[in-house]
Amino acid sequence: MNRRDRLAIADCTECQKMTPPLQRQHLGCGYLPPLDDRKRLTMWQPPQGEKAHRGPGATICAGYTTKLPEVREVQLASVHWEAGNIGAVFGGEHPTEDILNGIVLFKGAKNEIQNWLATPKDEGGGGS
Amino acid sequence: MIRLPSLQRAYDWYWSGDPALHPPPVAPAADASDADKAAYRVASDEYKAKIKAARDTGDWSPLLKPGETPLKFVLEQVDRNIWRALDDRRSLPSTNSRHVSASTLLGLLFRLAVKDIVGAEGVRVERRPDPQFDGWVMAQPELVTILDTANEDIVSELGLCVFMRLNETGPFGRK
Repeated sequence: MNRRDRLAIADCTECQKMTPPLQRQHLGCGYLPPLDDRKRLTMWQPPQGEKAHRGPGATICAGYTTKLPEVREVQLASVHWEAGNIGAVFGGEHPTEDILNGIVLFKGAKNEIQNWLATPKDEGGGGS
Repeated sequence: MIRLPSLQRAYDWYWSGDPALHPPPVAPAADASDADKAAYRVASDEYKAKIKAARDTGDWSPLLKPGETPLKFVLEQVDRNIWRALDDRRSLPSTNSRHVSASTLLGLLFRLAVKDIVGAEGVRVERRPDPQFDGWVMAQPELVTILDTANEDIVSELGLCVFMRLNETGPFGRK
């Protein structure tokens, strides 16, 4: 990941101050209208390939999507789910179907990247 | 203070046409210059992106007029079993008495989701079972009439937003 990608993903406020709007559109900024031509997107993508992400590529900056309140809610729920205490997050209420679906997606994506990291580079992974 | 979008809890939403929010750009006349039409398209796209980002993030500040407070709609999660039943009913033939038309669907989704309206003087949300719709607990039907009197777009827009969330077009959407 280069310096520009790191800035975009780490801090939306700082990125909006430091990056011109047209460049942010190329980075898939969720605060701006999407580009007509998606081929011109130059944003960070998760590692692709047989041993990595095999789904469709991202069309919105990961810095935007990973900070959305609902995504953070699922991330928090996932941590407590792993500890067997998801009820604690929602004041004893059962999680909704959407939260449970979100946990499945989140854990799937997490496993995908962990597998990629654990696979040596010469076998298509990102590990040593 | 605004409750952020949530997949579990109640969340707050504004109607995009609320006078306390910056309005969308005005469309140019049919005989306007190409430059004016192009400028309108750019401004319109920017406005739509602002609305979408506000709904995604819960940060409406770029759209709020200084010193003004829009009506706040407090929405709760719609039970997905009810959504499935409604989804089935909208696919029934229109001759079937249980068929739900598109506009009725949006009104029902709004009534199923709305829990409170903050800032609407004299308007109170009363959630109770509606015998006309299998006893599902929702806001009173009169609420739709009251809001439609103010502006017919309110219920349709908020109902459509609820529809889109249920129809998996959100952050976790498959469509």
